[in-house]
Amino acid sequence: MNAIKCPLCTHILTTPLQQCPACDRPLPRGFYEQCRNAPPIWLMTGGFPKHGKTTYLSALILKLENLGQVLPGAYHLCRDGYTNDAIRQMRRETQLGDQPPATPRGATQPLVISIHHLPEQTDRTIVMYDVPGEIFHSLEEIPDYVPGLSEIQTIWMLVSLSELNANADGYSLPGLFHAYFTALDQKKVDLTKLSVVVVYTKADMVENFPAAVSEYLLSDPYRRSVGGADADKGRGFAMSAYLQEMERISQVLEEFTDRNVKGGNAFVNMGRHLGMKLKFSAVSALGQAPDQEYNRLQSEAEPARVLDPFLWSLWLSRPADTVKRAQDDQLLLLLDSGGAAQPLYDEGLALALWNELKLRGFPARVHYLGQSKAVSHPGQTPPARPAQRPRHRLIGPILEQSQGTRAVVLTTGPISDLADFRSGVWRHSLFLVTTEEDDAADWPLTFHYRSGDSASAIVDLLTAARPE
Amino acid sequence: MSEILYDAAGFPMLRVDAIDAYIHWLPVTKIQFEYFLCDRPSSQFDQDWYNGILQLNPRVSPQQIAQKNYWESFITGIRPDEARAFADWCGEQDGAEYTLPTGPEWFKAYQILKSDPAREIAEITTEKLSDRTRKLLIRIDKAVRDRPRETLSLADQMLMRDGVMEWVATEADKRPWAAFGQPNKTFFANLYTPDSGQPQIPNDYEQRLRSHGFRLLRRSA
Repeated sequence: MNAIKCPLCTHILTTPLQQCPACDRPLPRGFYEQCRNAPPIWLMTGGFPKHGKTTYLSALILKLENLGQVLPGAYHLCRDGYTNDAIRQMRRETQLGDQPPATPRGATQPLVISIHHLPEQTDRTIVMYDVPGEIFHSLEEIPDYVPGLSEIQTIWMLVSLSELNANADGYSLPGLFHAYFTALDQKKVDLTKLSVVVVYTKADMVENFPAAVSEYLLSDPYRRSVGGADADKGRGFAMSAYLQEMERISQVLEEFTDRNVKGGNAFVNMGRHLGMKLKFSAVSALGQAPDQEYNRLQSEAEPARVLDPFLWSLWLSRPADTVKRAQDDQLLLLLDSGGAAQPLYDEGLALALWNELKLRGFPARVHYLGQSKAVSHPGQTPPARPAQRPRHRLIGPILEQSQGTRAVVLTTGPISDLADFRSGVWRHSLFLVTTEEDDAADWPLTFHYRSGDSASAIVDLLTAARPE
Repeated sequence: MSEILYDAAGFPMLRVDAIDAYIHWLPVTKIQFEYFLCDRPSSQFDQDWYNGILQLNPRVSPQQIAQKNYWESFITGIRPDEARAFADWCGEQDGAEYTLPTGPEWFKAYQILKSDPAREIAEITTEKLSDRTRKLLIRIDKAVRDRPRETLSLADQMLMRDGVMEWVATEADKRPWAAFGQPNKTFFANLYTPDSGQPQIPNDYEQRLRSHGFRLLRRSA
């Protein structure tokens, strides 16, 4: 487990205390014990003035307050009075339709929120620094505002493309990134361990977004008022399916950034060169522009996809032991070899997936579905074509006879006996990759493969799944 | 000598001294047969063949087994020669001799087991079973017990009645196969009872009979 540090000064805490022995300020209640069970995610949010950062964070926080409606069983707790007061203020402004004031200048105190019963039975503690937009004018100020800068695992760069395009103040995407980079470099932060989520705010106002992005925003299954009832309650949250969609949109937005955003190409290249994990999302905190004269909403807010940056952060900063444990497990790669399986092999998906798994430290044993005997052992490349004689789409004998605890299944159709394992240990450790759009399996970990999807996206989702 | 053994698919067989053999606790299930299909891919038992079987009697997952559908667990619509292929495969796995019972063997076992009381299913569902098999046995046992009846014999618990018709071998050259047992009436309405001691003789061995499954004997070496 990583060291537990004071969220106000990053002094290492070794015992439960009410007050930090280094900065003498009160610690969030139960912070030490909390972090032992719910590893912290250190998060910094930043963006230029008027780019909608504070409004977005308000929408997000209020969405987190109703997280149980999205993720059944999940709930949050404010860990100190400061966070409690800040959220109460956000709630009040939302009820009145007022827009929150900009983040004030001055040393930043983080919001400390614990989130419980997340997917995969995890709890996390969010330590969130909201950095005022003005300080991005003076790069050297950032470390003063964010005492926990060296701990930051995830940065949200909140950018409004409508404001950026107007460009009255000469801001640019590389400019914002450079501000972060300079500050992090001063603190000798290992950039390869950093995740950057570019959050395009006010996405409802961007006219030239690809159609896929607009459709994605409108199809948010949880697009309701920030504090209101959720029509989708009880529908359940298929985390893997949602992450899959997020990954797809991230790729669309990255390409859009590369081609259409001023300085976007330089930014993407820089991020990749520095080895950071780079993801993109588009959000609308309000679903509408507020009345300019009164800075109030004309109707109830309808935020769209505001959870996405949060979910990215959870996923990208999952505890190292989750990844390590996954790599210790034996992995089965099960390939459809039925009569209609040829397209899987024509696209080279099995080999691409096998290679990606190998790169990530998961040497896979490969079986055809419907064949107990392995067709290749860990280290051997998988077959390039289906078996000469088509095999049944059956999985039970393979799963029950293997020592594996994780499996990836590539299939073009339904698997006769998959439902037998819905209530067992494989429920959370068997990853189904199917080319069927309307598969009836309703398997909890399903990736609907479409031509051109990357193998790395599939493995990302696989490693996020935790065996019970 | 152990009273319970497990076949190649991990399903229990109960020793019946009167016939000097172990007999499957239940008619052979689709899960058992799928072990065979996955171990011996062949053109005879290909996907079309299995689709035809499932059309006659669909598949049910263990967690969905209930009084209204438990017979869907069993492989039926199967012909005697196909059942024998499964028996041969079982034998190849552990070196023992597996066969379909003869009519007299089936009936003798039935009479013995009919006079024994049902057992606690926990005696059968040991840690040797897979989760899936354990679930299947428990759910079927519950479905059987939930059905109102005066007494529950071991034969009833093993579904020698109220289950499926079961292929047995005869000594007649022209009609080498017959069937004992009794299908659940919701599955296949019928008036036949095994208590008559007379097996049911099918008219046509080529026809797939929806109600017909089987269980095996493992001969003591």
